[in-house]
Amino acid sequence: MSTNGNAQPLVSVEGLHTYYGKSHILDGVSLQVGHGEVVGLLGRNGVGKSTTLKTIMGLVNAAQGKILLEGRSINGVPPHKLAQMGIGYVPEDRRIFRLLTVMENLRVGLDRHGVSEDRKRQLLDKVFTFFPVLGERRGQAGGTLSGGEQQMLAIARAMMLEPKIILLDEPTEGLMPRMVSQISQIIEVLHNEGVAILLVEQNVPLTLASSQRIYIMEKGIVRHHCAAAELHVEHVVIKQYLGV
Amino acid sequence: MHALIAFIQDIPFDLILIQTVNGIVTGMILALVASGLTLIFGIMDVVNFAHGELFMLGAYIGVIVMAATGNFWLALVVSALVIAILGGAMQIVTLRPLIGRDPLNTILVTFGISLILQNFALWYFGPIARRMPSPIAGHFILFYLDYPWYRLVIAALSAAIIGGFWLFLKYGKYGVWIRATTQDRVMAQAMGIPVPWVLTGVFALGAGMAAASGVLFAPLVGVDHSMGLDWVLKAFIVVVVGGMGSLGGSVVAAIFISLLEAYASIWVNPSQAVIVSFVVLILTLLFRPTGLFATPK
Repeated sequence: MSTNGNAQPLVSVEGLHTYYGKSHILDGVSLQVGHGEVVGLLGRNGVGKSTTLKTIMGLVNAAQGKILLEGRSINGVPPHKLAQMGIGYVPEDRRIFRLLTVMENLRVGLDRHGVSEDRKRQLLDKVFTFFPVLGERRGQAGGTLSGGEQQMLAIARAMMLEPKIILLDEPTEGLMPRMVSQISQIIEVLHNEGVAILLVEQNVPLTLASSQRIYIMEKGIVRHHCAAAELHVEHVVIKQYLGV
Repeated sequence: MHALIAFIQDIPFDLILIQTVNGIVTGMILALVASGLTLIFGIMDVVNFAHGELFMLGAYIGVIVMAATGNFWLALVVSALVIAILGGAMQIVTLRPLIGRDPLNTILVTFGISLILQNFALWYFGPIARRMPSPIAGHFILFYLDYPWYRLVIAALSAAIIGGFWLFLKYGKYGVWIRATTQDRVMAQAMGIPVPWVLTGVFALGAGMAAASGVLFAPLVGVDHSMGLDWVLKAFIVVVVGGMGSLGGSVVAAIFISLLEAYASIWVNPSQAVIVSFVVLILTLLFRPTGLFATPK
């Protein structure tokens, strides 16, 4: 599971139950993500993939179950503390700060306690190397960027936190094919940098190609778990749970 | 049409100029009161009915510090700091537990606080208005009027405070945090911003601005327990007309409404001229309910 020899998983979720009002959304989800590992979370619409990410991020309360970060319970820890502890979150609809400039969007994550000016410059340089277009548009309001550029900004913004793991929710949704391939490259770069990713996607080929392991969810529970190399788009499991 | 032009031409030019100066001066104080209110609403979605009482308490603290030290400017700073701390504590105790609840809850709570503070002031300071000496005593001749320099100083100081606040919001680290929180509270948290403390800080800042405007205004009218009522009512009109949560909108609306009232005072007495504000409020609610410069979230 771990890609850097650390036996303890980075994030471990055990028997997670989450409700929206009276609707039981997560019905005992369990999964693990190792250090530096890319893990795909697949499933049809409405099975609870995004809710799993939101619950890990503390944006939705877990009614039951354990969430551990490097073996330490993070149930009930407020989202801002989780971000400071190394969990980055890129939501499904990007949710960049539309009226803030690109630079200000990045500064939100950058202006943290204990980050030296040198380190800030390095992080910005790194992001502008990954995403040159953001460097060109640093003074432009986030809301005026194209969908693909907004997605880049959402990922870049999460990178400013120097996270150990990024919870990446449907990053290719609504993007043109050229941008989809760029997102795939970004995931690879982040993986090479040692950042773990829990990737929720509808794009099965991209998820299988980018991930080391796959969890497949159905009706609020993980139904199948295997190495990504064991699956392909035509695999019976994919057909059974995703109807691809 | 000819009759209207003739009517306007009959107004002496010097009177129009005097009323323009009056309108701008009053507008700047009103803008300072309203900017604290619009800040609290724009970021926290809290309609703070206790804002006028923070203005009044700020003025009282100014009177006390002035009496003890004789230094008006020290009184201004101390009062703003004390009321900012009081406002922060008030937010933590009464409003923080209500985050995410029906807005009606916060309206009722702030209304309750307003009554408590007003009655406390009446009990503690008594019903007789306190005088606050003006820090600048000089006058200058504005046509046929002896116009106090202090009124112009208030306008300039209000503009400076609002300008400084705008710069802080635009370029300061915490200013960026505040703007991010205004736009998307959930994502601000997910980016590591301690949103509950940002909200407390914003309330404290708004309270401090109310106190500063109370101290600045005190030498013009005296200080009593009900002095906040008129101002906060006008400030609410300004916030609605300018666009809930829009700092620039509040400044423009404050000056616009104060100028209209000042011009109306040429024909009617000032207490009747107040009606103009309500007419503007009603027209705004009818034709542009989000206000003239509403900030999109």
